[in-house]
Amino acid sequence: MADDLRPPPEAHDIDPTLPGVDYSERVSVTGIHAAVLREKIEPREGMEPMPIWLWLAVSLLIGWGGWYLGTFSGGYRADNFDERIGSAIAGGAVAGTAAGGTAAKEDPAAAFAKLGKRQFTANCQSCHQATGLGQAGVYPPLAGSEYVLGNKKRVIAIVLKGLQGPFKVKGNTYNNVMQSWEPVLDDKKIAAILTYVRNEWGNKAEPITPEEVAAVRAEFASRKVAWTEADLLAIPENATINVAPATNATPPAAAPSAPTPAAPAPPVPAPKAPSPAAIAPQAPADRPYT
Amino acid sequence: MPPPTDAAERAYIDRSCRAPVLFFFGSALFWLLVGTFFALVTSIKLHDPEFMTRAPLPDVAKFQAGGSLNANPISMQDVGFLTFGRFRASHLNAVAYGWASSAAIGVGVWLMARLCRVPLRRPALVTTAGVLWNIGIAVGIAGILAGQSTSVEWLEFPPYAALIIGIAYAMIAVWAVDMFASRQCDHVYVTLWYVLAAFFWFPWLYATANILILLKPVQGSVQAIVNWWFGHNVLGLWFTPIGIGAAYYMIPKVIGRPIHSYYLSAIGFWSLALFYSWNGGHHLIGGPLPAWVITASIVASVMMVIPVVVTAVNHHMTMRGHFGMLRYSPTLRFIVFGAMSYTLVSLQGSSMAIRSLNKISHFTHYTIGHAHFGLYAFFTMVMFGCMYYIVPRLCGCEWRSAYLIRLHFWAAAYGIFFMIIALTVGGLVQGLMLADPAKDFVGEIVPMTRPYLVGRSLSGVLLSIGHVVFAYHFILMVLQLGRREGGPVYFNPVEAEVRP
Amino acid sequence: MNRMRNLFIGFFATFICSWLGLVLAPHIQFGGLKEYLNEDDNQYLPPARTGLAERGSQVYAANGCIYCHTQQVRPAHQGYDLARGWGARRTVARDYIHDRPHFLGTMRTGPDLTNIGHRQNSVAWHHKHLFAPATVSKGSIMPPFRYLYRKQRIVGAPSPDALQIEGPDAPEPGFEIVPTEDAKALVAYLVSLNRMYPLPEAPVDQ
Repeated sequence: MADDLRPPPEAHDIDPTLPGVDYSERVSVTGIHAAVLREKIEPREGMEPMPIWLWLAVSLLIGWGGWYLGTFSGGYRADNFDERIGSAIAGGAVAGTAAGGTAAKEDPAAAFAKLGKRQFTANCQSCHQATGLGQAGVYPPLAGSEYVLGNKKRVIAIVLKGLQGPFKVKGNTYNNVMQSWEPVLDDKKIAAILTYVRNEWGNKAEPITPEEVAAVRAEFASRKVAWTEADLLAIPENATINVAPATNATPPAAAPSAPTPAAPAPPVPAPKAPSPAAIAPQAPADRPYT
Repeated sequence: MPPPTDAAERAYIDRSCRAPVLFFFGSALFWLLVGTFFALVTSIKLHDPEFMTRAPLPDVAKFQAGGSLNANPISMQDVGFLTFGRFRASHLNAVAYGWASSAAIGVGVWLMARLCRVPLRRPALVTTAGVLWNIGIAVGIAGILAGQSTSVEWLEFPPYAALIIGIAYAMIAVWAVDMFASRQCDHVYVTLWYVLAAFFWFPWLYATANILILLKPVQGSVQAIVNWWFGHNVLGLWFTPIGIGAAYYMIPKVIGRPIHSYYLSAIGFWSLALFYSWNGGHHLIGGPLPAWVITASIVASVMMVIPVVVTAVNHHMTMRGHFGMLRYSPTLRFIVFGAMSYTLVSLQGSSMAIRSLNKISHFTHYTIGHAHFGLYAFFTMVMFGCMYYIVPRLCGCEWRSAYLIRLHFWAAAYGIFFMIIALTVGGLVQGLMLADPAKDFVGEIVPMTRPYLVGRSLSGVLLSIGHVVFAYHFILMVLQLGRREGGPVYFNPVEAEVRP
Repeated sequence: MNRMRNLFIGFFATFICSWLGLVLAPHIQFGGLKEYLNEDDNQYLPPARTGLAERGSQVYAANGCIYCHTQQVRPAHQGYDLARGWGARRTVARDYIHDRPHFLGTMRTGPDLTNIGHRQNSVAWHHKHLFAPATVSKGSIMPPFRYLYRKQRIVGAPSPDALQIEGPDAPEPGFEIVPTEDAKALVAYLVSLNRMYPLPEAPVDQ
């Protein structure tokens, strides 16, 4: 490779008469083009072969790529977004996580508890947090909150209509806005969420049934604005809910007096669960996709 | 002995490139400074949202309420053009199109002329394209600040600015084909493949993305994949080929020995062309796209290991035994820094496409760290290296000060190193905390990432110092204030046996 | 390889592969999705946006909201999105057929907004939050969007949509802060963001 190391060309190598070489400079042409003159030769390529180990590694990678592409492409279907559902499943709508099938067989009490947790995650958690502690000074805590653990009517009313601060919880004032969930969530979901909230993070209180939510919803149907603290406190602390007698749901009194947080065992709306009568009262305000 | 006309020919070619290439370099550095300013302000806004939100303006409410302008003098008012979202878009576009692309065109033009062994043809076309290019970027950034951003990442320029840029780009592409067709050499060196391909691919990319997302929009999720097909290909099929091509030229040129293997060059190039172009979908893992689109992109991202390792082996074997030259040659040190970063950042990129890792790294500062790793530690460093080589040949004088070059190198190297560390670690912390739903978003995760963002701002100050130093040095060169005696500028006194 | 034609054929061939695969094929395969008609209640999903919300999406774009907020919910096995309560199901292609441009986003400096209109549908809250984020979300690093609001002298009764602001951002006595058209449109857009409905390709796990 000795011939690669070219000695720098002599000054006379450059022809000053060439057009364009003139920089209108005073100093010598050699000096101006020193950088060009001392340059090494233009690059070329050697012809070393590709090492065997590299060939091997490349082949292995390509093999892996083919396998991965074949296994996780979901049959190249437009409606399959889940790469785990194999190409083998062809035809028919792509099934989800098959939860629909098992849900039907599930114990209604467990299903109700699960619904409460899931709906809390989807609707409440971003403000009140998974820990139920809220955010200091911004969103009040649910854990140990006197409203969560207190009168059922008040807490149902809060969820239905929302709140307009300032509002005092556990001695701290929160000046914020809580939205109304009346048009968003049906009675069963609100009941499940509240039952979950009243029995999580060390909270212990009676469960709430969809019938109770329906009754409160009907009672305050004419109210269109969120609660202020004063308005809410106007509901007596010992107010009771008159559950519509039409349903044959288990009365709330049947609930265990001291439900354990782990298994609140709520009084599910009767064995023949979502009975049309129980769900009916919510219909007007409900959104179509609950 | 080589023919004595070799050096004369090179001098002649360099002379023909002088005006257009220096124009592109100068505007690149201008946009680099502008982009750095946007970057610093954006970065500070991220941990201090009240920073620079107001500008001095008359108090309109009081004025309308019956006051006179004299009674209510100018006060600080909130303005839209200073908001984070517009500054961030301006930063990205100023550095991606203003700095990196202008530098890439400058370097590409010079490399084309050198490797085709013909003086620059149609210099007026190149210069006109350069002027249009700068107008397009200026109009585009003004549009973003005025609130006309398209909000499509990497394509924020409003359509009228995109049109100007597209025309400028098409002119460069036409020029490149013309240059190549009139080349005076038999052998097409590997650098030429990369540069030519980049000039050929980019206009196609740019046109497709602008048409399908902005002019005649396709449906939302198709827009998303077109967006990232484009966004990733700006890196993969535009910056990367120019950067790698430049490294393929500069490394053997400076150390004076041939590139290790033609076969490795060829495999590296064609596998890059084949795989990199499919990578875009890895920005949408978990997103609303059918499984096959994402899976195809993941496979292609992992396959990128092939061109990267092949190229790394090729460069390493070429450099072997010559690493000592890194002590002396500024060009070589910048370029080798960039080439090594390319290997690392590409392997990191392949790993980030793996579904189980992406689950954590996606949507965090980790990705931002990766982007700066690629565009700065690799591409920008290579461009700096090229400029250190090319500018003396165009200006006819030597860099004025080894001290300034040293300052530039270490400010850039430490700055980008600390930035990558801050964003990578901060991003991992952020991703791991997000994965735990019990962690409060605003209450816990935001405060935890904030120190890392402050660290990023500080590293940005280091980078800014390097940029200002380099721009100053460049201006001295253009003003013909460089040195005229003695040899080239080295970092250290050169011992005879390793003289680069 | 040295011949110009061969070289260009190579450039073209490698590139067209990805163009066909990542641009044309997706467009043909799922670029023409229609709204899904839910036969139970005769509702088309995703519902079309109102004019004001559509305008709000332009405000969302102009101010670079996407740089900190995503609008995509990943499935449970591919991230924490569902566990954080950001949605009832993963999002799929059909959810975005009305989006021009798309706002999927790539960064979560702030939370995901796919279903923000479901989680927080109070217009008053959104205005307060946009005007002074830290007052309703302590520790937030969201930039204040005060420039989307206007200070004006109270003439007669205060405007119904005036913001209830206390503290350092409050206007001087006799003045009030009201949203501009842009702010109203933006909030209408945010409140409209709601993809909780089930789709056949993405059922909601009740």
